[in-house]
Amino acid sequence: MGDSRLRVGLYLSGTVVGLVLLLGVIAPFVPYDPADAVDYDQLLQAPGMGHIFGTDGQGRDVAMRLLKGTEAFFLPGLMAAALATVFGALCGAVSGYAGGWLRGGVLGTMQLIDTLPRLVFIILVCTILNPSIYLIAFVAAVLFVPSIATVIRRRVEALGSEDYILAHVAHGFRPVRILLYHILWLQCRPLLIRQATYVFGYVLFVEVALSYLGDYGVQEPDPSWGNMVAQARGLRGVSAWPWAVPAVAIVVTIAGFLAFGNLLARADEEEVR
Amino acid sequence: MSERSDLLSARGLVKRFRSRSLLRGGQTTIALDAVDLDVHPGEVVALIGESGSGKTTLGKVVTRLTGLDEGQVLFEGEDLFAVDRGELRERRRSFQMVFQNQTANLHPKMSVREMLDESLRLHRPGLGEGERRQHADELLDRVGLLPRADQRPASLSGGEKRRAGLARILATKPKLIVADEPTSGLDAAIKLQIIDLLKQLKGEKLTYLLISHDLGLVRRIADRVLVMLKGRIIEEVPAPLLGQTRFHHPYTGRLMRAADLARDRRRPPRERRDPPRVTRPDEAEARGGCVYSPDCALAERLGILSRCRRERPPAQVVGESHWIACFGAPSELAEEDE
Ligand SMILES: Nc1ncnc2c1ncn2[C@@H]1O[C@H](COP(=O)(O)OP(=O)(O)O)[C@@H](O)[C@H]1O
Ligand code: SF4
Ligand SMILES: [Mg+2]
Repeated sequence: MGDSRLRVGLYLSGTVVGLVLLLGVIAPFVPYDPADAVDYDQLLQAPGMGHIFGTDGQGRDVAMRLLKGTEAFFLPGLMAAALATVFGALCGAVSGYAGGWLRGGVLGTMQLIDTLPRLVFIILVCTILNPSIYLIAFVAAVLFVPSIATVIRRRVEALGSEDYILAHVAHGFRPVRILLYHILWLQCRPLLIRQATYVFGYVLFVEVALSYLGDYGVQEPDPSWGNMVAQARGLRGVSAWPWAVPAVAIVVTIAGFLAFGNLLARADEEEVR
Repeated sequence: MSERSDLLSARGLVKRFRSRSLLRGGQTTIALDAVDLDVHPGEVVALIGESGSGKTTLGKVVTRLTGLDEGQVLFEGEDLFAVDRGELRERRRSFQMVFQNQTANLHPKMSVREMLDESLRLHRPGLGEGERRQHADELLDRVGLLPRADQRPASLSGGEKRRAGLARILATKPKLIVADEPTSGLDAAIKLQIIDLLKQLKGEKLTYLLISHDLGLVRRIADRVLVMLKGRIIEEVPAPLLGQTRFHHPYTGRLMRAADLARDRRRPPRERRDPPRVTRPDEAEARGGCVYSPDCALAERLGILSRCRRERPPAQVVGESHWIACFGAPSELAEEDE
């Protein structure tokens, strides 16, 4: 891929990521009462002054619901991304660096988790526990640990096999510093960011799916991108805005996060070449 | 035998590598076979021998980068394999190894200056930020890399990578440097630059264990030369005598001819008198004998081949600071010195 196209892609996807992060951070500070927002004088307004994305079937501002809807996945997504990358990185580093029973134990556990089909398992957890989105995010994080650990383990093994760790040990560095700083932080950061964006995107996807299906996700009148689409389903042919806006937001966000992670990792590889 | 003034004194080093294979059972490679090694302060000791003879392994053992099956390594009189891990890390700054693999010596994500800064922070914790920078600049200047200080390894040439690796090691103010093949893979002009740099550092009273099969480099820099074959040191010779005396181990002679042949491109390879094989007939009687015996023309000429196959030849002194582990070594010289 050309250098400039890579850069453009990074800027575009980076803008999406930045925007979502911005919305996620400010949303909790914006006061919103979903009951209060209903306004039967303003049903299905087209976008315009006052309502940049128009209003829905109950006269509620779509842009506002879009903003508040980020609360449904933002913190759980961040939490899951952080948990999965930290534990994935540690498991990967340990199984790539250590030997013997420690490596065997970690690898075995990873393989076991990896046999679980993610979405099926999450739905199973939902039907049994009817959990909060945080528990779902936690489960998603655990389910992602093995694949992250594998990526990191490969990198650690590739680096370790080339006398690389040995040369740093020889120089007097502590193994912990070599592993955490020289390898994980300096060498695996783009890989980890990529994995983190996957997990974040996945949590959004799961939240959207659950809210859309309606039984387990965010319940009306509280907004979520998933239930916004579900709510506006019946409006097809009447007004596209109430469902098109959240639908586009979902697709753009997931695609933006995945692309950002991928492009960042690729830019990093090209830089080292 | 070991003197107080020895910086490094190793005795009876044995290192085996076992490769486990389910089908064929375990196979053992003897990488070091009862090796003794002394390095005195201020001298450059060269280790030569074809690849696979155990040079790198010896370098790693005397810096405790790999385990040891038998023997003892004393660094400044202290048993290196007896100190605990924390102590060892402290000691490491005194003996540094430059790896043959250049990507191992450098961090791909750090500029040369950043690497030096990190090393100085680790090894000279007393220095402030400004002093570290000044020190880094001095080191960079010493190895002639000041203009390239902010480059990462990927944009450095082969020779510059060597310099960077050396600078990083010099940051610890080591007492002993083990340099593994410092000129391998470089073309002639760059090689000369590195040789000059190593020479200049030698002038600054640095002590090296120089691992190389580049005889040109060895002759220019080393004080003493140790010849390794199949995990054994089979000759020690003062560097100025290398190739200048008729008393050489037959294997050293072969190395010398190979080096000369390599320089003279006109001679076709098929005229090479020495077969590429070193050892086999069954690993020279499972290593009870001389490891060169399956290839040795001298043994045949002297009619001592059966003895060479069965007994390990002891060191025979053939001159001042010069010995050869060979039954064919001139006996009158050997007796004179005993
Ligand atoms: N990590 C290892 N595992 C198994 N065998 C090894 C290992 N390192 C070295 N050896 C073997 O030990 C012998 C000596 O190797 P080495 O010290 O690298 O030689 P040199 O540096 O002289 O080329 C070789 O036969 C090599 O195959
Ligand atoms: S000991 Fe025997 S086989 Fe070995 S080098 Fe000397 S003469 Fe040749
Ligand atoms: Mg080697």
